[in-house]
Amino acid sequence: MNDKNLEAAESLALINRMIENTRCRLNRNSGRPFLVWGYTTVGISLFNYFVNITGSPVGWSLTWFLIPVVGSLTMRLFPAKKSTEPHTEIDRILKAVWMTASLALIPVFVFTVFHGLSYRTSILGLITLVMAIATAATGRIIRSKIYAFSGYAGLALSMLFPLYDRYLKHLPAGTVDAGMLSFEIVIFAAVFVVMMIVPGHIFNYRSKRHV
Amino acid sequence: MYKPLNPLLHSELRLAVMSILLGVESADFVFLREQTGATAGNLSVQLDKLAKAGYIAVEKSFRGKMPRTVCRMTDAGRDAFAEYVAALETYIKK
Repeated sequence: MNDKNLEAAESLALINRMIENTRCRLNRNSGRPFLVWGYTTVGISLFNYFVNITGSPVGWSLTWFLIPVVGSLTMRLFPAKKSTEPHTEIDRILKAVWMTASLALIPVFVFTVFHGLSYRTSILGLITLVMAIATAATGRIIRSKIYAFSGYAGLALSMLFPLYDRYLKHLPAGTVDAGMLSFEIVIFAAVFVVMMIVPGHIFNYRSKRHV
Repeated sequence: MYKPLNPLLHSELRLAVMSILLGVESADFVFLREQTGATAGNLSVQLDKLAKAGYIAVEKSFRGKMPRTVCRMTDAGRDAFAEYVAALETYIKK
């Protein structure tokens, strides 16, 4: 490309091409954050499930805190964008959405741990709800049907937690064991597969096809 | 009636740069070079022309030990680009 003058039609075609190329280039690897956080959450959740059902010491549950550590480190090692690639206004908005959603997990954690001994809401259900809201918002902001749909699916699937609780409550006394109680973790992992891993792969596949 | 086309924007490389900058908050020199396929020297000259016209702002800094040039479109650049596209439309409609 040089500094030659163009015909009017060529100019319009060039403008369209440059805008489209830039959009495609910036979409490349856009699914990566969803894949990184999705696989990290699912992996550590399933690890905790097996720790619970094998009756390992309670201290192992501290491994839940590895999710932000592993996720952040992986994102630093494999960022979705090269350092030379530009950021758009949408990137800034999405960063604000996810930052707010992540911060919301702190009071969620405090509520579920310290709010009452006899009545505790499910931390996994609330985390799913917050992440589903952020996923659906991402889908609406970037106009991605995949993310919007998976976010709304996550919202709907978060209902599984109270329903499962209700199911356990109606079982005869003494029939609920540790495995059944921990099954909530499997539901949590399954929702994250639907909400983050599947749409992340679909989004990456589609953006690669367009480049 | 044909509207006159802004000669500063009516050039392939400068128009490509402005089109890229339109969709992003700012863009690195390396990214602009990759997207346009221009040589570093030519791109540098054209960026300088756009900057002198006040259409883009160029910030030079360092990332670690590596020099970094970041360009962003100014409000004047957005106005000029909008006028240029409006003028182009008069040629297409005729």
